[in-house]
Amino acid sequence: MHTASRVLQVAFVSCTLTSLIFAGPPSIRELRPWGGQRGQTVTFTVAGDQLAAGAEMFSTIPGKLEEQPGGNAGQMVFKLEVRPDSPVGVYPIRLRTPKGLSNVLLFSVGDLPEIAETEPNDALPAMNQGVAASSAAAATLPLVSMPATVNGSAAGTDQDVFRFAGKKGDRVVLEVESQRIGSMLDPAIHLVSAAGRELALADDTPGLGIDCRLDVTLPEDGEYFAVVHDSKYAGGNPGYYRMKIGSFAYAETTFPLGAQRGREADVTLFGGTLAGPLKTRVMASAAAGQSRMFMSPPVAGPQARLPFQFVLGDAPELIEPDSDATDGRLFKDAAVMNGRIAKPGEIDRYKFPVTVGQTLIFEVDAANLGSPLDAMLTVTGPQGNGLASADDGNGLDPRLQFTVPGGIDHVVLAVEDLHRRGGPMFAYRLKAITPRTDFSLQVLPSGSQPPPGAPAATQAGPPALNIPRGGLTVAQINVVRSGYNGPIQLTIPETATGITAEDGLIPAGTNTGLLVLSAAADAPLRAFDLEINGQGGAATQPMVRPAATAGRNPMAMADAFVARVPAAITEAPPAKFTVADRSIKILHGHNRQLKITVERGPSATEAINVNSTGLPLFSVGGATGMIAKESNELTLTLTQNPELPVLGTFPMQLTATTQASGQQESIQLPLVKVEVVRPFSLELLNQNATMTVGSKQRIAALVRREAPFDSVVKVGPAGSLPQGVSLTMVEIPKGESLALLELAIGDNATPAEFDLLIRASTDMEGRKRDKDYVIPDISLKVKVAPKTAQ
Amino acid sequence: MLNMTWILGATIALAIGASAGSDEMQPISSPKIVSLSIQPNGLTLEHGSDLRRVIVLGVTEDGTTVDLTGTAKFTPDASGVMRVTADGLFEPAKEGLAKVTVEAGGQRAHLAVAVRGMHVPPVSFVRDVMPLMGRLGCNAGTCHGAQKGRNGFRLSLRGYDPAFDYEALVNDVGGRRFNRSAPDESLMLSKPAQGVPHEGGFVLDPASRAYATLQRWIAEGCQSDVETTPRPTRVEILPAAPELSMPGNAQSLVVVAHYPDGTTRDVTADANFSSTMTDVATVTPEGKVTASRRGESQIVVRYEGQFGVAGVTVMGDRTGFAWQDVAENSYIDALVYKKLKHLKIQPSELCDDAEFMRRVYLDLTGLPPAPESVRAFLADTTDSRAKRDRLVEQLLESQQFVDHWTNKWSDLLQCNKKYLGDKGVWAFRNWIRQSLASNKPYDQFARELLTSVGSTYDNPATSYQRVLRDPNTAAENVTQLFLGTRFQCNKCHDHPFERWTQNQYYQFGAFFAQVGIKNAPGPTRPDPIDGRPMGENQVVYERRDGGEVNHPKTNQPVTPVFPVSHSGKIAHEAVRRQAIADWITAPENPYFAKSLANRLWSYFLGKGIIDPVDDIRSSNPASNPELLDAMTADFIKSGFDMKHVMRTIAKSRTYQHSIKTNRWNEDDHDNFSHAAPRRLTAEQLMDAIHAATGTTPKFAGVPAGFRAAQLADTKIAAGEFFSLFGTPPRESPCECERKGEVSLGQTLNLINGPTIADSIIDPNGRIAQLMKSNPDDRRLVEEMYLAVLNRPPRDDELGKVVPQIAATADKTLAAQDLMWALINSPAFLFNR
Repeated sequence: MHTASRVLQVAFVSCTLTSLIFAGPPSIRELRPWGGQRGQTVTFTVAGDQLAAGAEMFSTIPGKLEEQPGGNAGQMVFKLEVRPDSPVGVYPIRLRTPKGLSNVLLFSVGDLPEIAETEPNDALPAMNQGVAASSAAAATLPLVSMPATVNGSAAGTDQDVFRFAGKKGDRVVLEVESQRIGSMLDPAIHLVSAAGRELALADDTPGLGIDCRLDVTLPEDGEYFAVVHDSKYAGGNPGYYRMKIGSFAYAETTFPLGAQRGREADVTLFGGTLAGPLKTRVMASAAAGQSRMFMSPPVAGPQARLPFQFVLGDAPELIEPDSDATDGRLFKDAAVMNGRIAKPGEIDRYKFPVTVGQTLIFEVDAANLGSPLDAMLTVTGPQGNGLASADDGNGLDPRLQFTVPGGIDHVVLAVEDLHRRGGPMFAYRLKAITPRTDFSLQVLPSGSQPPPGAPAATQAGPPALNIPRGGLTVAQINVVRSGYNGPIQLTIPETATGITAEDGLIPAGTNTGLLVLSAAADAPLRAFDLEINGQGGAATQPMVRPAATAGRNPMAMADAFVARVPAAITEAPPAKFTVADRSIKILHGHNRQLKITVERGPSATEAINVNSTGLPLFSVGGATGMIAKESNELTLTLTQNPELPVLGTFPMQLTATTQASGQQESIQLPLVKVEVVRPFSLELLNQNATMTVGSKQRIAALVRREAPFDSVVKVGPAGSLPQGVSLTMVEIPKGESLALLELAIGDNATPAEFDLLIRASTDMEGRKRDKDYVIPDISLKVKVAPKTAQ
Repeated sequence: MLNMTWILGATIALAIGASAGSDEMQPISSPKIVSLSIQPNGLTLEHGSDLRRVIVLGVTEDGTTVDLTGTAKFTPDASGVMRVTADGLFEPAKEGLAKVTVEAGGQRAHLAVAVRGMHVPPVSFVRDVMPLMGRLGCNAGTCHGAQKGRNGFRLSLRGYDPAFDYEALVNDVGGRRFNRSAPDESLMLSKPAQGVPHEGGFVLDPASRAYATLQRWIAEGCQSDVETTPRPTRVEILPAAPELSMPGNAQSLVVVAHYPDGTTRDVTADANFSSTMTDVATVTPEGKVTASRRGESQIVVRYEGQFGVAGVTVMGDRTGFAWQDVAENSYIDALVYKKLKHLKIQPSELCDDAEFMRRVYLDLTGLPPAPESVRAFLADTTDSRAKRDRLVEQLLESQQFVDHWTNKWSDLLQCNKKYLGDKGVWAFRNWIRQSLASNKPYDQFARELLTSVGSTYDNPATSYQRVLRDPNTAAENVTQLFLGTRFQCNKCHDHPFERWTQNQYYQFGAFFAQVGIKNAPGPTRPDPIDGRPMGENQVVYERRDGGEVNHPKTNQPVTPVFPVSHSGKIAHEAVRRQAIADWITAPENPYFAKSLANRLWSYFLGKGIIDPVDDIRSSNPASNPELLDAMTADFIKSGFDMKHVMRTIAKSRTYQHSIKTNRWNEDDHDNFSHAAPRRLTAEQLMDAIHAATGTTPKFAGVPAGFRAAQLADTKIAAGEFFSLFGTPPRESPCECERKGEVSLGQTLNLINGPTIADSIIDPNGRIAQLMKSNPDDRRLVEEMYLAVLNRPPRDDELGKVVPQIAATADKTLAAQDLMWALINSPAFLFNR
């Protein structure tokens, strides 16, 4: 189903799009600032490449977005009025130009006043001086008024220092969002006194991944400094962060850690600023495709709150019973048991009914969800005999596949902490999964790698699929197989109007396939969500699975956007190409020509370089060439290296690059299926020979040549022969295919049965070490009987 | 037969002290002997072949002693129980008690001797043969004790394994080393006696007692008593602390071995003697010590795996010495001065305030004081001791203190990017830093390092377990770091200079055999040791499936056993790492607190009371045991408060001695009578250069302004300067990794290198800033001295330098030249 309607268009200014010429799709790398306060208007800049005034912005930010004048190829400015009722969170942003859709960046909406860092703000007090001295630079930094969200960036070795004032006994929370909002920064935060004394430090905070939080009670009246930097002073790019500073209400974890989607759940919050465990009831709901929701502590008063994650599942869930007896802890008819190692050394045991021969996967989610528990899972039989155990397998959490042995009707599942710790925060989710043969698909667009400086795919989702009008793009689809090893055919629904798909077969046993997507020449320029399906399994019981974009960040606060395949139809390429043969064979040691013709548009007046990928390295060469300015065709001579006679079918992806209107253009050509084959084959007309000692017999062998190979082929024995046995060597001249070999069993031969290997070879030019090119031997079964009495 | 109890009681009761009454003349030049001291003051001869000797000391009027053993006359009573041989050996004659009159130096004393029996026991392989082989050098590392033996004959190194040696002697080469019916034809005798060719030469005289003993052992059938005869538990040296007044004076030693059954044995003839300071005193193979020059040395005695040390003091000519009382700020000074007084060493004066300030800044914070701090301190008219104490407290609470000591502990804990990865090294450094900032008690600090579990990112104390890696490394690393002892040698054989055995090595490692380390999710990199994928983040845990250390000899699991027992509480016997942490950190542990007190002392005084500080052993005794014991007790009493130790040291007068010596302490290098110059460490030097020149450090990989001492690993800012000036690679806990020597390369770097040159001419540096205020020549010089040497210039310096500045047209250039000269002076490069 075509899902373009799922993209919420917030603003689209279409004034001068058609008059602009771009060399490629836009890429965006920085937002200044990276967020805004709800109910407020924020003007922010999008920096990147291949931008242009009038570029269309796609986002789901609830509010009104307007482009501001003065945009250019390097940056655009937008004014955003964030609706007061906007949920606090992170929202994806893309830009579209006629050349396509950009990558994604994340814009945060918060509920605190926003502050932007001002460089230089690197100096700490008393950094390089005597004890009494302090840095004048630090003392003059602007005073941060709490509460606030500070927008900063600390790429590389940068460190940002913020000054704030407080009174003795004030409880101040400083939380840095970085990984959770798509940044490459691994943040650390320090609290430093006015005299330069470090008072507290946080790096990785449990529950926040590699993000961090400091919760401090100020020791005296005065000024303090918060210092944010990458934990190893090697902040990635982008290295932005948002530091929330103030007196917040927050919890560190919940029990249970999650609930079934669409159900209400009783949840107890722990830790943080809560005076004690706080019980509340929540509705487990989130947008489609999201596996988590974000909750804030339901505390009274005007105090700002910090959200935390709560997992959503689709299966029924249980809560660990109070009873310590295993029989009282029956775990059945549900996929998830929510439990907790409440005290040090505790072991939670569950009786789990099974049937003999049943295969199950038992899996724990704990550390993955921010729990301090380093879980160990043990499966024992009814008599307490150990059957299986796992420590890791699901990250640090255990995962094991288990087949039920005979003679038992239940097992006992035991969960404990590897380090024998425990406490109210040591929660887990124990899952029992019936494994099934399955697969999943991930899309990695081909030929449109992120530009330098763009966020990595694992952080903010990959770039979109940009399909040129009248042209094509090649999407790379990766397969994650779960027991299913057969072929998968990729298709797009017929509703993807104007888009056609070719190829898309992922062979059995392989994990990558290519799908060629073409747009009609008159397809309207637009952005949409493309549905790509893969079908596997038997024809009678097909499995159809949708493809999603890869690179979901497990800690990101917004992940729904990567569950789709964003696509756009872009303007036509400056030239169109035709490849004479879409499927070719190339013989070992031979060449094969491939003709490419180009239909130049008005701007494609320069020479065109053609390159390829996908062919076996060092084995097949010659797949590059140049079409001169005055020419419209190119004949590539593909050459198979006789020293490396690999076999197989390879999808050759051809890409043309040229200068058009002063810009570098990259154009994808149709896929060419290249089959690398042997130049001849050998077949025995009889696979068996029954003879007696002292007899002779002719063996008929047929050599089948592939055009244009027509050289002499030698056929004869491979290796040594049994005593008394001989086989002639025959040369099959050009134009002939039949060889008659004489097999003689001498009087001194021993009666026996054996396989006689027969080899076909030819002298092949270009082989330096051994000119003899050999194909795999074939076997003749020979049975030698004793000489019969006269 | 006499009642045995009575004999023992009588032995003690009849230990009669020296009595006056001799009218024997003394040489005029000899000091007057006022009494005799006989050591031991009573003898018990166990059997008919038990020969003993005694030491006769003459006590002079001023309390010093003189060895009179060689001239003493021994006269047994008429009981006929024992005889005295011509060479002074006490020889039993019949069972009973005897009284011996000792006359020497004009004095007379008496000695009780008991003979328990006259039976002659068979020659013991353990007590007789093994010591002989040790004495003859058969089992030395250069001979048959080498790892592969010599010429097909291998003994355990220095005889640490009697069972192995017995097997090697008796059963190797088909037992052909012995001819029991004709012992003299045995290879064991004929080879060392050169009856047949012996590569080791002639080492056994057929006329010697050793030859006779071996001959009798062979004749008695080469019996083994390895399983039944215990080895000695300790050796006693008499006199325990000989004092020799003048070079040339001599003192004989007697060595007595003590056995588990309470018996003793005179083993002087079979013991090995060596002197730690041969230029002070030499010792003969027979145990005679001779003074060479004034000073102190230790005579190390080795016998059958036991070590004893006798501290020898050669007083030398101290004519005219009269102790001048000096103030004592604490027990440290009292104990230091007690020894100095005894050695007739007068300590130096106090250093002045400026010297003290620079010294204590560098020692506590790694940085020199800023000029404004110097001015304020010198201008403060408060009592010097009070303001010094106040400064110590101020520095102890500074961030720079935390940075400096974080850097030191990062060395010892091997906070190393190679082992811990890019993020892990920062995480561990931050953990150390927070521990020091909170002044975490040392026992808790050690305990957390030794027992922690979890992720190296979430609980960075676990990084230490990543460094330890395996039980063997743990055995060596933990003992050296937390106990100040070295277990490396006893991995392959019993320790040659300490009582540690090979078994103890593996018994100690066994405490770490059940540590598991697994990769946490996330990036990996090749392990620097074995190349296997190693998680940047790892999780340390206690293995549920056990884990053991196998002894290399038996290939059998070794049970964890504490190297020595103490009365401290072991609360966690079940979990091995916790048990060893209990044992290590207990106040009763004889090494834990002592080694750190000693280590901290060395950081402030330049030398440990035991030195090297991480090589505590019997054969490396303390120069002032009383002081070290007192510091250890004080450290324990403070709750293992490291700052308390530093505070106590820094406030002591001993620490505040001037570097200037006097006539009486100029040759003292061991007793802390004056301050010793110490070259600044690489990090101190780098940071001091930036502080002096007023420039901002810029190291790759960290923000500008990060000081060298703040780096998690100096490899982060790889540079020639750090390696040239000896930053440690942090691949072992040895203090020796940090190089403190001075080299030509360092000098050339300082003179010509970019570090100093670029800092001096930095357009934002001190000189550039100073020149903006257009200072007069005198102020310019004063500012340079305050910035670089942390003191105002003296009048004579002003008198020389100001005219030079005045004569130079380009004041900036003149200031740069002056700063360059001052930075290259020892006053800057050394902590004095």
